[in-house]
Amino acid sequence: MSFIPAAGIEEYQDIIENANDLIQSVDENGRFLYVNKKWRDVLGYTDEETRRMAFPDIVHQNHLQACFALFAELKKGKSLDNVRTQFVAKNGRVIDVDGNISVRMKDGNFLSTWGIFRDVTERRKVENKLQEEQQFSQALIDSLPSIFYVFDGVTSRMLRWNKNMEYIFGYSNEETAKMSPLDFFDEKDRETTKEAIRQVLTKRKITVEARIRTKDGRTIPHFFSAVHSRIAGKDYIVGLGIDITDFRKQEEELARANAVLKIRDEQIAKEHELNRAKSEFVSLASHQLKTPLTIIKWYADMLNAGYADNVLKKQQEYIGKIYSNTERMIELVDSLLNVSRLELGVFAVKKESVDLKNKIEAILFNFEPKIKEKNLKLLQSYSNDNFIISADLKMIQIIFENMIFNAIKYTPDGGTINVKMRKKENEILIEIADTGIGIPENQQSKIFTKFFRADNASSYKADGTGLGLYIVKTIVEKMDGKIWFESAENKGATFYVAIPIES
Amino acid sequence: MSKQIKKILVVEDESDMRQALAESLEYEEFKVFQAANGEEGLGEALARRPDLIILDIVMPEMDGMEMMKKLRRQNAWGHDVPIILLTNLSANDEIMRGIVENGPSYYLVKSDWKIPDVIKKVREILK
Repeated sequence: MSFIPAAGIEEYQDIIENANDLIQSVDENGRFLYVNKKWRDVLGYTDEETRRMAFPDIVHQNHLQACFALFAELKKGKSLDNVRTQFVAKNGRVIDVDGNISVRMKDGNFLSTWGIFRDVTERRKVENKLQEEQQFSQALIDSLPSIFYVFDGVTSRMLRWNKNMEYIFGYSNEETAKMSPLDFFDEKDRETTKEAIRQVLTKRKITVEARIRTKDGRTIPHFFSAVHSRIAGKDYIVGLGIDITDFRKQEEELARANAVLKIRDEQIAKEHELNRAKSEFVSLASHQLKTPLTIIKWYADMLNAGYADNVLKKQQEYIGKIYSNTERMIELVDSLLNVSRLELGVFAVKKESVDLKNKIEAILFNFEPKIKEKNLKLLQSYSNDNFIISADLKMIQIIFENMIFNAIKYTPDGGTINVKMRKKENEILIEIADTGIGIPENQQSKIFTKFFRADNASSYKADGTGLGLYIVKTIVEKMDGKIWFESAENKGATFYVAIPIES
Repeated sequence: MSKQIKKILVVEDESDMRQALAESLEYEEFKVFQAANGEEGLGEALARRPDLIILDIVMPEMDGMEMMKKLRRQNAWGHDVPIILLTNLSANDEIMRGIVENGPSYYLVKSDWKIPDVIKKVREILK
């Protein structure tokens, strides 16, 4: 029991009479035994009047029923706390009151009640206004077509959300209240979301794209924006989430359309390239085939027209041109026949055991007069291996004759040709290097093309079929071998051929 | 009537062909200059200012079409000098476009033409 200072009865009466709360005492019939000054001031009755009144006279009729029930409880001796009700003053004004009512009993019999009420009319007005505001803002956020949420920045407890959130996720309000913000996201995006929440606390404002996961397991891509608000010293995260499924679909459709366009562009480019290659081939082929024929024709024309009638030397010279170009034509036709046989697959292949080293030495021996004529230095190095392979001798002959011939033909006087051979696992690697005119970088990709001759090669030696390397590559590949080269213009070329031992 | 000697430039990479054209034209009393590719040809053309150019299309380094384009843009003389393009093919789009766009030009398919007919054509253009 709390300490009450010793005082005379008058003192207590004085305190009660002048208290700032409405104080009333009621007998067993509900009649007023006593009301204090504040009570009379607020309700507007005189002391005289209250002596003829009972509590139903001042209780708002909306609360009468409840008050009778309370009074019945009181009469059983039960005191009441937190009684909220409304009184009506003499002038009709409605007064909101909160209060306590205690019961006084003697020997088990009811004596009276003492009620202490506070006029809370003003506070109630503010409370109602607040409630109105809250309903208004709730209606506002409920009308948003997106997800709206507020959660505690420290505890991550969900504090407020809109109807749409309930509708989209399928969780009841009770369920939502128990969840943490991360529970609403797809597992794959939780780390991203966690990081975003961490950032919003320092950066104040963030946006993030993440997939949400509904109660029934669907994932929906959303765009979230959130701000960090500090209200009355507390941290809140307030944000919106917008469904970007349609946006994503459009993006995907756009990407698909672009992919289709890209494929079509590539097809068109391929067709163009094929057409270009075809016309380039026709141009190259007709150049190579018609040049010697035209030369033969023109010198025959000149002899016919009598341009050389008076000069025997000229006659001999023109006949010499006709002869050498006929030779060139024969060489070309031979090469073309080889090309046709290779392309038609009717090249008769007779496999036998071939000693590559012997074969290359024999070819080099045949070229010796040419090598001497151009004063070329010939180097050879062979590893200590067995170079016997099973292959078609004719094919081997064509490959290395062409390659060595090229090296000699395109190397200026006094240059060097270096032939190397070694065994590497189950193949033989042959390397033929020269110090010749080389292959310009921008034409290296075409060097194995039928009839193609590099610019510097045709300037250096006008004759040439453009078929040699094409034939070599075709044969090497027929033997399951490989051919490649390294070269720079004016710095020479090194050709490599790898031939399988058992081809 | 005194006949002025006409100057002709032959630009052809195949030396046997170049020689055939040059010696035939010289026999027919033209003054002939020779070049083995487009770059040389352009230099010779600007230096000698021939009355006509016989120009091969397929050549290494600078080809005939490229040389013609450059010459036509170079100056008024270069724009107007007659050019006979030599080809091994029947005329393709590129040649036709070049002929239409670039001053007085003709083309002939080498293997279809006899030397005396080439001479006749040259005289006809220079008339």
